[in-house]
Amino acid sequence: MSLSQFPADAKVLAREMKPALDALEQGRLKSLARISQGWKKITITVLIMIGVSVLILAITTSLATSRGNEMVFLVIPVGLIGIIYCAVIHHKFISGHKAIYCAVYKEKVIGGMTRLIQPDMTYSPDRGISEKAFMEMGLYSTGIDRYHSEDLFAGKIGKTAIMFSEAHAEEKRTSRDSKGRKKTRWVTIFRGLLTIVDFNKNFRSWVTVKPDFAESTFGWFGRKIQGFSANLVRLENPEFEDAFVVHGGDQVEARYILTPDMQDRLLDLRKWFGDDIRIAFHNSRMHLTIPNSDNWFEPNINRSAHDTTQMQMFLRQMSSVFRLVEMLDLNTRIWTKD
Amino acid sequence: MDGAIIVGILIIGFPLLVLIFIYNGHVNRRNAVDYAYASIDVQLKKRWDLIPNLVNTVKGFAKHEKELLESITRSRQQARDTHDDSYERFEGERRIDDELPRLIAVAESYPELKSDKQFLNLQRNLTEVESQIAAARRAYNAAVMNYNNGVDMFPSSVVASMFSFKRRQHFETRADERRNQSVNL
Repeated sequence: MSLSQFPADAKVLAREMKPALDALEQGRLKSLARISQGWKKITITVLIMIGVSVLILAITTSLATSRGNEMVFLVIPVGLIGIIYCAVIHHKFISGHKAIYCAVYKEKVIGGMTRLIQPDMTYSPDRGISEKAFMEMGLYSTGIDRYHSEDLFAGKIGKTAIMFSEAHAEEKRTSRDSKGRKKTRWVTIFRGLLTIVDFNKNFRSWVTVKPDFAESTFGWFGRKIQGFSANLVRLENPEFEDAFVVHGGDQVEARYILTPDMQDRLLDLRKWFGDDIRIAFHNSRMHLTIPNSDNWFEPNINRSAHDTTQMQMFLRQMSSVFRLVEMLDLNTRIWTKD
Repeated sequence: MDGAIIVGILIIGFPLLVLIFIYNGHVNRRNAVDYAYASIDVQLKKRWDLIPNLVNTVKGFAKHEKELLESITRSRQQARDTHDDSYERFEGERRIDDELPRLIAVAESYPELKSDKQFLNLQRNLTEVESQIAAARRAYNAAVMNYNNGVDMFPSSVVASMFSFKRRQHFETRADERRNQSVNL
């Protein structure tokens, strides 16, 4: 059952998944009760800490001796014990329960919806596209020092193998201030969706398609500067040339991949996903990066498991990438690749 | 005296440097055209290799299409005989461009042939080669445009006429290559 055949309406899917949603909702209410209990414990602990501290300060003030001054330091261990206790409670009753609920929701609801609308796709919330695969795309030249990827969808849509996941790649930058102190900050190189799709033609070379900053910023001069690059590929479509700068290892193969029709489709893709998309073609596969600052596929524990608005949002998020195969017509296999 | 020598060197040396720079630019662009032409040539040869198999396969099912089959065989032979970048060669290839789709269309009107595995395989290979030819032609035309701009524009046009860099012909694109592709087997 494909997306076009199945009504991609969360209300319809919710009816299909009713038993799972009922069980999940019961679990959510229990989790909320435990979370509320956790907040109560933390509030009581903080009040006790404040009370004890005030008491210690009152005693030391009334003694007004050197022994009294020493007693002031008792506030520190009392405070430390309180903070550690609160952290344990927070982990056990609040963040722990939230994390468990989110994990179950992802597996049952997002995974369930995936199976219903694309039976050949699987969803693994804890897995992602590897850092090695990200680097091999060749779309970001900067080195990566911290990388995290999650929410992996993998499988086939028709004849086309596809996988995508959320990813966050960062670079560590250190600098020294005027006093010579070392400062470290993490700079985001990429955050958003990584997609790897099987292309419908075989090719041996490579092609990258990136936003054309030089030409859009410096106009004619930027175009001239680009001309010095040995691997630059200039294509016939002026709109495509304004939007993207193309580099390729082989001029003919770049045009074999980027046919006039494919150029139009990539322009549509840019309208759909935004101006900053980057595309790399190598190993007969297409790699697409879609920058996105939002954290996708994250359920909210304060919303009912039956909430179809939230389900519809996840459905829209996953369907936007599933649509890629149709938008690029990748299931058309009239060439020698099956 | 030294100053005069330096000025003399500059007067002779600078134009010479510009001349070398422009000349090398022409050579560079001409080589790119030749390279792009070689890429088309490779793909056209692949198409020549497919034609006899295709003709033999169709012949077995569609005996009444003798005239078309003989015509396409002649066009292939003519293209092979003029194996260079001459006008005759391009004309021969252009005739194959016209006749091959007609042959495929005729073949598709024979249901047995349309479902024949060998024919389907040849058709897929032909689609692949035609896509490669289209890409190679576009690369060739881009290289020719770049080269011709150098030949036509001042001041590089002066150097071009001095060293006989002549304009090159574009490889015309077929109408169906300009259209969006939506072929179903």
